[in-house]
Amino acid sequence: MEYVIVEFAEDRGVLIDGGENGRTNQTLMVQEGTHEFTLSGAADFTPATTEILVQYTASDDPMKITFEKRV
Amino acid sequence: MKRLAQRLSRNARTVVIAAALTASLSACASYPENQPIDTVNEKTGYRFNAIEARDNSDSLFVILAFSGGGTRAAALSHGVMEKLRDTKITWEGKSKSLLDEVDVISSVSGGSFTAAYYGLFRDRLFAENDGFLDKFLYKDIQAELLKQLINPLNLARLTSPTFGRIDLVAEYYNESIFEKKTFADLGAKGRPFLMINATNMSKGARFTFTQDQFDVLCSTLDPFQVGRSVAASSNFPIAFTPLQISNWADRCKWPTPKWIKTARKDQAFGKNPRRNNRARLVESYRDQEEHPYIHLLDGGIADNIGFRGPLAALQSNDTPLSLPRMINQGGPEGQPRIRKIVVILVNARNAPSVSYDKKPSPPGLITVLSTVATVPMDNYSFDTVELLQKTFRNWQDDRRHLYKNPRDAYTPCSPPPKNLPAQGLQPLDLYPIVVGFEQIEDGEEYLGHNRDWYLSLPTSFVLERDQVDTIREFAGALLENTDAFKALRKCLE
Repeated sequence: MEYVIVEFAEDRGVLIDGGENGRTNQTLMVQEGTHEFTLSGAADFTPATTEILVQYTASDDPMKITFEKRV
Repeated sequence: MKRLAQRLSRNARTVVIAAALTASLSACASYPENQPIDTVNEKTGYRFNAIEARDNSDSLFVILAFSGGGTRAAALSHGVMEKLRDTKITWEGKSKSLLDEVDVISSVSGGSFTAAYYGLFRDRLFAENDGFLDKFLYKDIQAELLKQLINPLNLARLTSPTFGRIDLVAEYYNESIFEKKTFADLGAKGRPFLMINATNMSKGARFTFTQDQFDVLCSTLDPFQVGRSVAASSNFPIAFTPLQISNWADRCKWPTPKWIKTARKDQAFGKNPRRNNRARLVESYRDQEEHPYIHLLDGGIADNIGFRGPLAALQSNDTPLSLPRMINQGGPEGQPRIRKIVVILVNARNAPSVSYDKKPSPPGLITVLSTVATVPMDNYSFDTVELLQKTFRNWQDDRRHLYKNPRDAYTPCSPPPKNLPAQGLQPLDLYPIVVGFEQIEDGEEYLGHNRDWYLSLPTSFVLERDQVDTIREFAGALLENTDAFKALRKCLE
């Protein structure tokens, strides 16, 4: 199992490959492989999506994927 | 002379009538086709997320897997169900039986009879009369099937190219055991969610009777008879013909899930080729021109433990039922959605002794074919059981850092650690359990029988009544005896 934290300024739902998978700023369990990450709610963040190979993480050293609030 | 001519004429008439009857029965006989749909609705049908949980919590998540092995397997899983029914627990302030908390039952072959019967008829699984015992476990099913096969009317129907021996078997199961119930009836019962597994012959892959699988075929599972799915799941090769499913994939637009698009990039050995393989398999059903029909064999060919489906659910965020996704989602008011996971693998594997090692002459063709057919599967099953242990151990390893004493991550029912970091993982209490004859230790006896006695029980659809009862009782006694189950009971008292 791999681990990811999706960082964002607000509490939002995290979509992994289109499926609801928990909240921003929480450690999430993710299967090894290529995944598309995005956030639910208003499209006020950038980038719109992030596609990345999730690999070589640990629960106490998760991969961090950051979305910025668009101003 | 005139009399002989009359007799010949009479015989000829009889032959012509019989031939006409055969032709007419043959023309009428065809397998009941699964029905097409125009649109896919991911919120309805027989899928985990669409059936009601009712009083069954997610926080105590119980998965059962029932292996193949004919009546032996059905009896073993039946004994486990009896023990779960008799195990009283208190969970989240409510008293109930552990059986009431079973969320998923995945099954193949003989195990599918127990799973499907419980799914449809609940307590009638345990009834002495008009239930599973007299309709299946105590019945000589092989003799019943033989009666169907040698019935002259059925022999005529079997001359049809689209009606095989398995269709007769499915009719018998539908009428005599499963009372013509459908997956709509099964869905109306709510949890546990059943994963009845067969094997797609051309792909050598697991085919699970769920609406998610049928979506890809643009077909509805609702009117499909449960008995027919059990026939597919227990479709022993050669004895029966493969069971056909029609692929209507050109009839509807199937929204390709995003995970399939990303999994296409995981083919390389160092990425996740297993995920890539699963995506390719799902997509292959969309090629209606290449696969207008799907031919199904015994689920035990692809996975004789019946656990590969739940294993994918434990390891993946992609599958329709995904434990990592449920854990990620969390529960109400920031509470964990899942706190305990119990997996009970009911493995009815046998190992009858062989005599050919005592002779210099080579074993016969049937013995060789049987060995070739079963040994690779047994090795694969062994790995499947190991993978459960390994998956849970990894999850526990990943949670060591949450505890002051890291060993508490492996101890059942450890008190939740205090001051968990806001961003961190939640603790999980995990109980992997295996019930099978191979768990009997050397020198140990259950109900007066040792390991060799149990391992020599045959694979068939008929056993003596006292053998059935012994297996049932053994299942409960062994489950009771496992360390994980003892710990679970203590924790849930």
